[in-house]
Amino acid sequence: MTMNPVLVQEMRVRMRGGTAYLLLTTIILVFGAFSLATFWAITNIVRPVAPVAIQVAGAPAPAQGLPIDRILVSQRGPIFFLVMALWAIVLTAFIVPGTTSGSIARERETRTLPLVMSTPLSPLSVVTGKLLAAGSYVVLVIAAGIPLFTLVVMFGGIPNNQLAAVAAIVLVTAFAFSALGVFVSSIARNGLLASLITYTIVLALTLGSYAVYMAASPLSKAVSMKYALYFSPLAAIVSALTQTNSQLNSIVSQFFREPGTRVAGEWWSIGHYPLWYVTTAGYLIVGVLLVLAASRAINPLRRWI
Amino acid sequence: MSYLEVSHLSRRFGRTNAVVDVSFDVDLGSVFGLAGPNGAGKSTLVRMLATIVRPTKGRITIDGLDAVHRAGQVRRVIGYVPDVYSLYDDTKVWEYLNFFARCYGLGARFRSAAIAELLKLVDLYELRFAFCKSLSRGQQQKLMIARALINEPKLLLLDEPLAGLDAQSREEMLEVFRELASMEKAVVISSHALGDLVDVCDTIGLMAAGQLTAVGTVPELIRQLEVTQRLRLVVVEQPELAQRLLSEAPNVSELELQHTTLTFTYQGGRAAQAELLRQLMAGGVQVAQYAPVSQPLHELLASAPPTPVSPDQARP
Repeated sequence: MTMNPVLVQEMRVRMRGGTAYLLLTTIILVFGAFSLATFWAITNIVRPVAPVAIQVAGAPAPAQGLPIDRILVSQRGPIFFLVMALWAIVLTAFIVPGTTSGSIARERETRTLPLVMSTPLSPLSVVTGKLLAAGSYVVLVIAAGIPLFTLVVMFGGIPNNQLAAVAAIVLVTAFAFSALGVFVSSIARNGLLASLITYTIVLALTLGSYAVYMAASPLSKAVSMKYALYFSPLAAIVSALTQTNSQLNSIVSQFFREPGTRVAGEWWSIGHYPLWYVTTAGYLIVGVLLVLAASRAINPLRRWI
Repeated sequence: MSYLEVSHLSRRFGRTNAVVDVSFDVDLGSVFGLAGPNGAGKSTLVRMLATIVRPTKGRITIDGLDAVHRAGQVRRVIGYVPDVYSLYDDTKVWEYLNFFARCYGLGARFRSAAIAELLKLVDLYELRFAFCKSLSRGQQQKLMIARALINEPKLLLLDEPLAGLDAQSREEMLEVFRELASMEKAVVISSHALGDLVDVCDTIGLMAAGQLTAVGTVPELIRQLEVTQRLRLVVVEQPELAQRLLSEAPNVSELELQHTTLTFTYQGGRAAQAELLRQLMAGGVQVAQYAPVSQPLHELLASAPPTPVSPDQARP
């Protein structure tokens, strides 16, 4: 079995010279600084404000639940992990359009695309080669940041299924954004235009959907805009980590109120399916469709576009 | 059955007819030239042959395979050099060829040997570790021709392969094309300069406004076309009589007399030339010699009227 020629070529050229390594180092340094700042904030700011009252056996239970500072202290690990996971998504949204959106458009600009298409290499191979090359770089950046995630061990409290869920969300998001970048690149006139379009869509999906949700909340008590959150991988991360953690949920749900209410509800689920299931499955399906559409778009013998 | 068969091929871009009802055949071991001015439809035709533009109408058969419906198989037997430089600037010469060799699925051991051989053929072996962007224009063109040969194609499609080359490089490339034809390959070369094609092509097709206006060997083209030709008439005596008769004859211009030799330009084919000779002799002129002045084909065809040929006529 031979490797995809486009993947080999892209990787060879991408990793040539110092630019790729410089960019990687810069991202890791920024990621590291952010992680350490988060770690410091959580360990130094989130502290109990009053001594813990030990309940004596037989004494009446306190009238109210745990104070918020106690909840925060108990959730240091999940909060830190949540922030790091959100940061990984932001990094993905920042890097992927830059690495993918020029891939095919640049070939069109240098007029090498027709030459590649005159070989027996299938359009799908060209697209997957571009996708894997860009995706590999993104995965490399995220993988390089994994040691920073181990800081969460200092706090503990993250079950394996949540680790797996976050990994799945980040990888699927990277795949879907890469597919989006390659697709836009396959139909855009040039790399700059492709980058602009891809960044706009990624921004709209990542933050715009949350902004729509928040903006709509006070406007209508009847219409819930929670479905806007289904487009956001950030909301998917929050959903995955709060699904079985009611204390973390009580903290983050302050930011995800149901429209017209003062208390957050079961915002993360639609029917029996948690939000992150829907978002991840949707991103996966759309990503695959975009790859197929991109391979169709660059096929010189196609009948449409 | 010819190796390449083009039948009633047309391509429209919006309202523009880039190629209109073109038909011709090319056999293995022969070189077919496509000549015509810029915008005549040559590049679109070559791109359709290279399976990177879908024909609007018509059919292309290469090695018995339909070029649209069996494009994947057809691409294995063609080598294509586009009319524009298509290089990766940030790639080295060796890597460029290696990438395309991988696209054709060539094994690692065969790739190395084939690349070295091709680079030697086009005299770029010493530059194999240079970046493509550092090559001169002529060297880049040679690299693209080497790329087109990486899969040992049976059909070579060269779109303006000599454009931008200096005289020495052009001659070297023409020698390479002749060598390729002798290797039992079918070669299609397009050029806006007919002179480039005359020495290397067995058959030439003239294109204008998307149509093939003439197809044939060089002598056949001269016969087919109502061309403007320079003729020489040597008379035994009375050159003034011949001069008077010629000046009165239609389609004669630029008449010059020197001793007993008259040189003139005549607008008309072989039959008309023979009729002119008959009229001169009937007028009392004693003709010692009557022959066309040797002229390069591209000069002869420069004023050829753009009369489309029918598909049946187009098959050599």
